[in-house]
Amino acid sequence: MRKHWLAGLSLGLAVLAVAPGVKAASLPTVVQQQAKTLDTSALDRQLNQLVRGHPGVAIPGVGQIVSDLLHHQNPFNPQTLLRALALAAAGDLATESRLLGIILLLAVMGALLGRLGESVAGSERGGMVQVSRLVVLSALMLVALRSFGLAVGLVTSLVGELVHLMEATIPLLVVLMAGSGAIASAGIFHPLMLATVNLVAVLTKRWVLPLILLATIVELVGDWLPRFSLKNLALLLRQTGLTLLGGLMTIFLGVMTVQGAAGSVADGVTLKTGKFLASTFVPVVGKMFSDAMEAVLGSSLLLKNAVSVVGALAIIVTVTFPLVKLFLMMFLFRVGAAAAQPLDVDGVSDTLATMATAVGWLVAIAGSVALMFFLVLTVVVSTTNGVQL
Amino acid sequence: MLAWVAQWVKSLVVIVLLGNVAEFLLPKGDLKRYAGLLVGLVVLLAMISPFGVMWRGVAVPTLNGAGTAASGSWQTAVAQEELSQARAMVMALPGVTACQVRHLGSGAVAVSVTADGQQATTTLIRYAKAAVAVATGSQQPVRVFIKRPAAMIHNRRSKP
Repeated sequence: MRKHWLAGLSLGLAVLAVAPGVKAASLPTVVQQQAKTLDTSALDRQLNQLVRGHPGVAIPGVGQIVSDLLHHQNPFNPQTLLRALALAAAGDLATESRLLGIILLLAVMGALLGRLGESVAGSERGGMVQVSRLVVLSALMLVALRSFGLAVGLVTSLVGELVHLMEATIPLLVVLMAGSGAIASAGIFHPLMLATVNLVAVLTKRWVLPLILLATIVELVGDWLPRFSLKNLALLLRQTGLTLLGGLMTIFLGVMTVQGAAGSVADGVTLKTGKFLASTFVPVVGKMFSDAMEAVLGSSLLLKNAVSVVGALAIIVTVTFPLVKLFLMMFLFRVGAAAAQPLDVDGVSDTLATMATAVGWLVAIAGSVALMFFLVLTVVVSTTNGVQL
Repeated sequence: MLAWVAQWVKSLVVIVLLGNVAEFLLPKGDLKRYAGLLVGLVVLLAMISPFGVMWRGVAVPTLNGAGTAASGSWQTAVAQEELSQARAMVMALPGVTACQVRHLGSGAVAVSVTADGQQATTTLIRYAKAAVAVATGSQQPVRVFIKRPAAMIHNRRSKP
């Protein structure tokens, strides 16, 4: 009997000795400890790979962001990104303007050939004029399609990179979500996020991009050979592709918001109940326990937000460079279309305008995929931030 | 599915291409106008052909050809398949490096086997005949040709 009492006393003393230690540990210490135990190797590898391609851009690691957030500092300097972006844009402009030069040269040659043919043949639209026009347009189309193929490849690899990034980020987020008490949300979001990311990637690569490519080719054929134009077929194909992407985005966002709200309410109830039980039914040290629990959960919350900030930054850095390149391409095609119009060679200006529109659609696709992944991170994190103790 | 869409679009583009070529080549006149109308009709038909399949209901893949005029090619395909099974059996024997099985004109089967020194010639011949008999399910006359490249035999002997 006495032995039993002694054991109880020593246990109580031990708890008293340990629990204040937990309570007394400052938030930064707890956070740093948690950050140390968090395995961010996959994310770090992705970040390193990303930064290697763009020297001058530095994405801070998770620990860095946590300490910056704790000390109320700005974790990311957008100026470095802007500088690197300007540099990349200048390089792209130099390479792409060469393409524009080739295209304009072709257009001028086409115009000259056309006038020459008219003056020789004497007729308005003789066979020779037609043939010269076809030759110039064919060369133009080869050049344009090659650069469009490059653009499509750019978007495809961009989507792949984004998927890798998300696959490195999501497990971390889910673990931290569960660690910060949002267990139901973690259970809901984990399959939802993974499924979305992969579905979007597969849909974009297998369906949307090929459909846009097909639409562009059909439209270019319409510019090339004016009889029996299939431009409306091109419209149909393009609309199908974009509707697929848009529909998926709408459904996904709706489902995620509603499910996430339900999950966060359930989590809030669970956590509140646990805290109430601990502080009410465990005598003396219960309050201490619930406070310590709060500190640990709070630091998990901070870490989770840091991971999501890293992921969002990485997405921004991944996406901006290709998007700027595509934008420049579109701009130069537009400039070419504007410049070729006064030369009055049938189809040259239209072809360039078509290419500009097609590249514009590529920009839209890449942007919306990136936006979707961005929303996956931010919506998920902000929804589970609503879980209040 | 997308491959099918791409095929559809490709055929449409080819039709338009040919139509433009015809337009370019034909002399001005009534013929050109009618040809244009015709090409337009063909493009229209090609464009709605997938929807036509939809109206008729889902196309059921049928094994037509068995028992009709096309059955000759069917039987040829079966015979070919049997021969390649026999070949696979012979190839499975250790020591066989290459094997060809083909029909001779007179209904006989010729098997030419390339083997190293691991198997005796009589074994190879018996095995090849049995393989053909099992694969085709009938007793056809079988001629077996054995090739033994000298280098292989030499290698095998020099190894131990």
